[in-house]
Amino acid sequence: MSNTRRLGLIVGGIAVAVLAFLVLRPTPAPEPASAPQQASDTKDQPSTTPPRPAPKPRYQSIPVPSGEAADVAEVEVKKGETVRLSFRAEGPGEIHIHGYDRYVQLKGGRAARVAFEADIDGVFEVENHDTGAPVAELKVEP
Amino acid sequence: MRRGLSAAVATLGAAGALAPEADAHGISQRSDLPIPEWLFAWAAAVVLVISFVALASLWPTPRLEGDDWRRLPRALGRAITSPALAVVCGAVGVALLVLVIYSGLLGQQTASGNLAPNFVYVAFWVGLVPISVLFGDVFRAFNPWYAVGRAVAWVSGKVAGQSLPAPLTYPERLGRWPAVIGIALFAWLELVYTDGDVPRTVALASFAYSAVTFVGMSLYGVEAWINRAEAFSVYFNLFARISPWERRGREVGLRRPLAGLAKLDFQPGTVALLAVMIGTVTFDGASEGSLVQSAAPALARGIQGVGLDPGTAVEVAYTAGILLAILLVYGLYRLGVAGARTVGGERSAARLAAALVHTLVPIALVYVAAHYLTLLVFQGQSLVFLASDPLGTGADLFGTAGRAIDYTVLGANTVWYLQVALVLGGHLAALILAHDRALVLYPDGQAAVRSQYWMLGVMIGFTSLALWLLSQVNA
Repeated sequence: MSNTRRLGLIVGGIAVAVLAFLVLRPTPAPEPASAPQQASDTKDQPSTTPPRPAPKPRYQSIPVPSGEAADVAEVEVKKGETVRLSFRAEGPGEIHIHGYDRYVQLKGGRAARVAFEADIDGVFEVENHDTGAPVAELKVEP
Repeated sequence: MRRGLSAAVATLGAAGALAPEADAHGISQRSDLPIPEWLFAWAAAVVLVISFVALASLWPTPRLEGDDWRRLPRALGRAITSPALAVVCGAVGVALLVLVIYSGLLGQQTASGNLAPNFVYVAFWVGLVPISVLFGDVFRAFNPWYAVGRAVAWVSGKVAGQSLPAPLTYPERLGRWPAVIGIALFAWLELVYTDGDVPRTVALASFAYSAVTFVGMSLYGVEAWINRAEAFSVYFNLFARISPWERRGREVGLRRPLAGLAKLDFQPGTVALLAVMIGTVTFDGASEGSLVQSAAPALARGIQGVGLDPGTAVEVAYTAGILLAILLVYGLYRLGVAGARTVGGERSAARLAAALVHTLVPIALVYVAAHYLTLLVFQGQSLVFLASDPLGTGADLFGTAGRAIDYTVLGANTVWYLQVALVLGGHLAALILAHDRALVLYPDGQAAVRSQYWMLGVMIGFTSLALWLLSQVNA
C-alpha cells in the first residue's frame, strides 16, 4: 500500500471518529423544565398575582438505623444544585459526608438537617461515623 | 477501591449480626461517576475504526524488533549511572521502607490518617506506574531490597576478598512465578482482605515481604532474584519497557517507545503475571458495579452456612471473584492464541502465547491508569499532609499538615475523556506490538495478517471490557 493511501486511511479514520464524537455528544443538558416555566408564568401575569413565595426546599430523608445496616439511600444531584439531607436516627451520633467533609450531629428522635452546595462532582459515601456503615451515597453529576 | 468490599460487608451485616468496622471504608473518599452511555458507545465504535485502519495501514516490515538504540551524551550517561547516585537513591528507598513500617506500626490505625497505606497503595503501587512509563525503570534505583542486597554483597565481598557466588542457581522453570505470587498476594491484600488498609497490616506485610526477599536474594543471588522473582521489580520493569530510555552498562540512550517490550525475554509465568495484572484491576472495577454488588452478598451468605463469620465469608466470596477474573483474562488470551495457531500450523500454543505476551503490557497499563487515575490525582494529594504528620498524631513537620484534598482539580468530564483516551491509546499500542511481532513470526505476509485477526479479537475484547468496567453503574 502506498504511503498516500495509508495516510488517507488514517486521516479518514480520524475524521469519522471526530464526526461521530460531535454528533453523539449531547448538548449541555437543558435546565430543568420547571425553572423556565416558572419564569414565564411570572412574566405573563406580573401584576395580577403577588410574587410567588419561593418553594419550600425539600429535604431528602435518610434513615440512620442503629446497629443493623439497611439499604443505602441514593442521593442524586447535578453539580451546582443544593444538597438537602435530613437524617433520622433513634439515638445520638455523627454522620460524615466524605469528600465534602461535612459532619452532622444526630439528635436522637429528631431530624438532623444539613444543606450545602454540590460543587464537587463524583460519588461520595455518607457514613454513620459510629458504626462505619454507609447510610447513603451522594452522586453529583457534572 | 475497596468501596465495594465495605458495602458488601455492610449489606451482609444487615443479615447477620456483624458490626462493620469503623474504618472499613478504606482510603478512597471519592469514586468515579460511570462514563455516560453515549461516550461508551462512541469509544467502542472508535475501537473498531482504529482496529481496521491500523490493520490496513500499519507498516509492512518490522520496526520495533530491530536495534535502534541511540546513545545520549556520555557525560549524561555516566552521571545517571554513577555509583554515588545509586547509593543515594538506594538510601532514600530504604528510608521510605523503614518509614512505612514505622508509621504503620506506631501511628494511628485509620487508613486515611496514616502515611503507610496511602504511601504503599497510592504513591508506590499506582504512582510509580506512570513514572516508569515516562522515565524508565526508576524503581530499580530506589528499590530498598535491591539496595540492601547490593550493599550486603559489597561488604561480604570486601570481607572475603572476592565476590561470593550465590549458594544456589535460580531454577529456570521458576521463571517469573514468584513475582506472579507476589503481585497476586498484594492485590488480594489491597482488594479482598478486610483489614488490608489498616496501617499495622501494611507494616507487617512490608516487613514479611522484606524478609522473603532477603532470603531469596541470599539463596539465589541478588541480581537473579531481583530480575525475575521480586514482584515489584518485575512489575515496574514491564511498564518501564514502554519508555524510550534504555541503559546499557554505564551508557544511557533512547529507543523507540514500546521497543523495550519487543525485547522482553520469555520466562515461565509471564502470561500468568499479565493475567493477574489485568484480572485484579478487572475485579476491582467490577466489584464497584452492580453485578458483583448483588452477587457477592448472596454468595457470601451461602458460604456463611458452612459456619464462617460474615467478614470471612465476604473475603472468601471476593477471593473466588478475583480468581475468576484472572482466569477470565487468561482464558481470553489463550483463546486468541489458539486461534492464531490455526494459521501458522507448526508452532505450539505455549510458544505462540509466549511470543505475543508482551502485547498485553500496554493493555495492563491502561487498565491501571484508567481505573486508578482519580485515586492517584485525589488520594495522592494526601501525601502532602501525611508527609508532615505520618503517624496521624498531630505533628506538623513541614507545615503542610493542615492541607486537605482538593477534589476540584479534575472534573468528572475531564476524567471521562482522559479514561477513554487512555484505553484507546493502550488498544492502539497493543495492536502495533502484535502487528510488528506477526511480521517476524510469519515470513508470509498473508499469514501474518490472518494471524492478526485473532489477536485483534482478543484486544477488542480487552478494550471493550475496560470501557464496560468504566461505564458500570456504581451500586
